[in-house]
Amino acid sequence: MKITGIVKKGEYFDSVSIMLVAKQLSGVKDIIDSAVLMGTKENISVLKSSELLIPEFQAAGEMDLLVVFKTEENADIPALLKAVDKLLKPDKDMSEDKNLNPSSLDGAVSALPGANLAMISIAGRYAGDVAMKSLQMGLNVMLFSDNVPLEKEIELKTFANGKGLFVMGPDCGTAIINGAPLAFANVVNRGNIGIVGASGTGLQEVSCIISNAGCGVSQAIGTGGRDVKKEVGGIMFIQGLKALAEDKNTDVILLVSKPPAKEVIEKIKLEVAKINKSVVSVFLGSSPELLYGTKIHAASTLEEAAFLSVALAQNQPVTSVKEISNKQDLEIKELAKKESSKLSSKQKYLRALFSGGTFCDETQLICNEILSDVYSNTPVGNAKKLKDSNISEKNTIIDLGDDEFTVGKPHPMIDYSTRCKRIIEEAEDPETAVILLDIVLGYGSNMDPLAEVIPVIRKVKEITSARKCSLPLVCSVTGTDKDPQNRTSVVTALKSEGVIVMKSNAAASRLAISIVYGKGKK
Amino acid sequence: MIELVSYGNQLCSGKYKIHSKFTSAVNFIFGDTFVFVVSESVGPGPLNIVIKGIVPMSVNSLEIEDGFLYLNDTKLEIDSRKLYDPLLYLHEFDHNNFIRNLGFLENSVKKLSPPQSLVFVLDPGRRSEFTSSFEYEYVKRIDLGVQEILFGNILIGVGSIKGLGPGLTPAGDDFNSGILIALNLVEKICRCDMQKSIKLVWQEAVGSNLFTNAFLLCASQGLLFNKFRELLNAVLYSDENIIIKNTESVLSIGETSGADQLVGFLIGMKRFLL
Repeated sequence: MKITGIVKKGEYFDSVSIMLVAKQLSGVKDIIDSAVLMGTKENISVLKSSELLIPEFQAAGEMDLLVVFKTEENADIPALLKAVDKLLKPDKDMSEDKNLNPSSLDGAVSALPGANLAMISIAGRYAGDVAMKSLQMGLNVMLFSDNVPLEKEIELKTFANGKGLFVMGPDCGTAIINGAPLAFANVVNRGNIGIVGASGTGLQEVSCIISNAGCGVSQAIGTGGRDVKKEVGGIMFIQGLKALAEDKNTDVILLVSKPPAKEVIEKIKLEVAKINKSVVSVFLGSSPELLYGTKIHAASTLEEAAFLSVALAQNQPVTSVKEISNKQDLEIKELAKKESSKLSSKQKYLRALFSGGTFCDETQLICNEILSDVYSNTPVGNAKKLKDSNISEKNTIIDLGDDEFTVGKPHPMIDYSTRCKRIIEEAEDPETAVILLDIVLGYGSNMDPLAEVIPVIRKVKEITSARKCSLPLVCSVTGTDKDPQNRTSVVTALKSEGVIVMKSNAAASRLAISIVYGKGKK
Repeated sequence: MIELVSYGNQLCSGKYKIHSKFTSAVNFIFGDTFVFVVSESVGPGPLNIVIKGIVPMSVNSLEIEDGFLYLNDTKLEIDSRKLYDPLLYLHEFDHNNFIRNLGFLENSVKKLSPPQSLVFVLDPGRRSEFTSSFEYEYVKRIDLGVQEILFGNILIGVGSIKGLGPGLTPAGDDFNSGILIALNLVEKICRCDMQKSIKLVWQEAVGSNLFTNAFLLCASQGLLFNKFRELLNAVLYSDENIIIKNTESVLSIGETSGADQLVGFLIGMKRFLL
């Protein structure tokens, strides 16, 4: 074994950067063990214990960066030292080769002159400053990062508003700008419906339903959920509304959000009054009375909002939406009757496991009218807070994308492992009457969701056939056939495994709830 | 246009040099005295100069003299209305609520801390993040130090933890400053004179790293950075939601510094109060 080390005089890094470089270094071919650290005498003592100390380090100071790695005797040390240098100096490489991913804002701007939007996805505590720098450079901003302080968000949005620029976010997961899906977004038809959304999954659901119904989206502007709260005052929501009002490619404007603050609703009403275009809203959980007396078509579900927008965009009467809804209700009723008749006397409860937070809210709100004893880790409406989010109680509706499930893990739209484990747990519970799921396709999401869920569906079948009972799995698939995963392929595969796939989360929720309700009535 | 938002009560006159630079903070040194020029998102502290109008990273020079701050070419009056008072004032509080709130704080720290921080002390499941032989040895040493503290061998524990950690601000030093903050709080709560103990722990905690010594000195004197002070106020007088919000705020300090300091504080509270 050979131990090689270098001292970088006067170079300092924070611990997370150092640990990230150390991780990357340990993945370099031929490196068996490694460490990257500041040269404190305590760290040097740790190096000694871990048998990575070399004599050159004894003279190092606390402001010196030490890099050490262990290799086989015949390893190509100069090449490895070059690799180390590259890991420590990404900016330098960027300036040498613009085809590489830029690692700084300046690098990105010089790599793509003429760009007018910066997408920022870095640690929240730094994201605000980078966003401000972007705005100062005249760039619109999509701020994917969360944990940006509220004051910073207000500062950014006020500044952007004064310059006529957009700040989408912080915590903005979805946008479609000039046909380009950004972050978690789907490939939808282009068309004459413009969307402003303070809810990422909500924006995905409505844009996909619109596209699957044959219409299209002009722009989908995300604002981040906090924008519509009292403190931020809907700065970007209103700016988005104004922009769509002026956009000649937009005929219908669709507003999507969890309940905005009353003050923000008032501002929206004032703005809508000036617009000579049709406006549809879905403010999930908000009292419809707040919009009485305005020309806004208020919907109570994402699906209804999408269908209303489609009807208006195609110059059809909005009553046509009611007809669609009535027809769907009949189908759901029949299907629910059939499925609930197969359940055993013990099977009483709904178990809904969502990757999309907005879907979790929507399902709870639909439950409000029908089911009692509803529990959630993120309760809304009449739902109660679960004592332990890992243990279901009666009717349980879980947002697996909530922080408590995602510390140190990718979002459940990407990594299905937590949900797959929970599906099995719910299937093993003899009181579970129906399992409700969402599958969200598009960019950013898992590219092969079937590989994740089909083994679990089969396992559920094994469990239920051993128990000689039926357990319906109801699912909605948010996506389009233009998405890289292809919605039709996913839906067909799920149906072939016995999953009941509905066209929207609202429809899937109504079916799942009706199965449980029908069971109760029986 | 640089604008002074607030300044700490521990600033000393002098012509400072840059020690280190990060996006939201530039650390200046004069002799062995530090001053940190920071953005509003970092917030006030005993050694902080909070500015707005430009990003701190573009500040390249600092001089403090005769009631004025000179940042780059801008002269700013040290206006006493902008003075930050870093002391925690203890009023009447509900002891049971405080103990319950410490539990909420621990849960929040476990849930929200970055995996590379010392949160593994509270949540052993996080150890899987540390895989190389250096990291393994580092975790082992921290664990041994924490055990010594919990067994009552405070000075041995603090001494063995100091200086440990790969980054510029060693996690071990942040942890020890959390221990000192805990000691100061316990002194206030129990209304007993613990100054001798605090001094001994501080003497054991300081080393040759001038940068972290500055933080340790503040902590030993009960001089708190605003985010930490607000969190302690929340734990003393408020409820779970406010605690979560303020925990997030403290965790935003440095990459892991806030988390490491909180872990030290919680271990200190476990040893000295609970």
